[in-house]
Amino acid sequence: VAELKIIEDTDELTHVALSGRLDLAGVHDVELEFTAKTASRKRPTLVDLSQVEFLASLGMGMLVSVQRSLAAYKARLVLMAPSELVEQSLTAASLDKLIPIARDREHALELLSSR
Amino acid sequence: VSGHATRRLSLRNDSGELLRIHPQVRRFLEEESATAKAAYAVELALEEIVTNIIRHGLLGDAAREIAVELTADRDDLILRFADDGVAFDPREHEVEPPGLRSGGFGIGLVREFSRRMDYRREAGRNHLEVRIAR
Repeated sequence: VAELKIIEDTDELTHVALSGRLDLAGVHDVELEFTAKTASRKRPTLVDLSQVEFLASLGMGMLVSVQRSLAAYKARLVLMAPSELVEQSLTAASLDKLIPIARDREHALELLSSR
Repeated sequence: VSGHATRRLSLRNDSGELLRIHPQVRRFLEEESATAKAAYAVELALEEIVTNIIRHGLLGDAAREIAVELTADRDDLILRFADDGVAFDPREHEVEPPGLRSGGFGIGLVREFSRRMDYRREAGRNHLEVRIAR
């Protein structure tokens, strides 16, 4: 129900894309790999949400957990291009105050490099 | 006669049940011609409330069940939940700040996406009704 794709994996940046449903079953599918490919690399991280159809609180918890791990290493996490409904979920839970949301990759890179 | 079908589902105390009932929920949403936003809100309410009942209400007792009713009227899609777990009124639940994994902000999400929530405790059971604008 959920998948993870690695887009870019360099010393400067981790860029991954999540897709599908980030509900209980979807988080179960991707959480271990998502954490390994993002938090464990300790690099500035961009997560493309454009193909995520549904985001429940457990999925948000997974994003927050990675944000916290990265913050401990002074690395930032930025979310990119969520659908309108997924963005509404993020803002309803005030996650946008914790993790910046970018329109596109250019905007995301700007947010990752700003202070 | 309302002209709206009612679906009654019985879920075991197991989070895998959400996956099992998903096709029936999708059929209900199609039959009611739910908008994308209303469909999203219904699925969110089901996910968050059932997960919450399983995690906090039924205390791991595999024999217990959650009754879910999906129906509609002219204005709303309506979800009714009943369980015999620990008394819990989600309207009085303090929403936790983002970042906690306890599911505390899941209830907050349901509040944001629904038009109204009503709760009563009757004969040792929780009864929760969630109304989502069509």
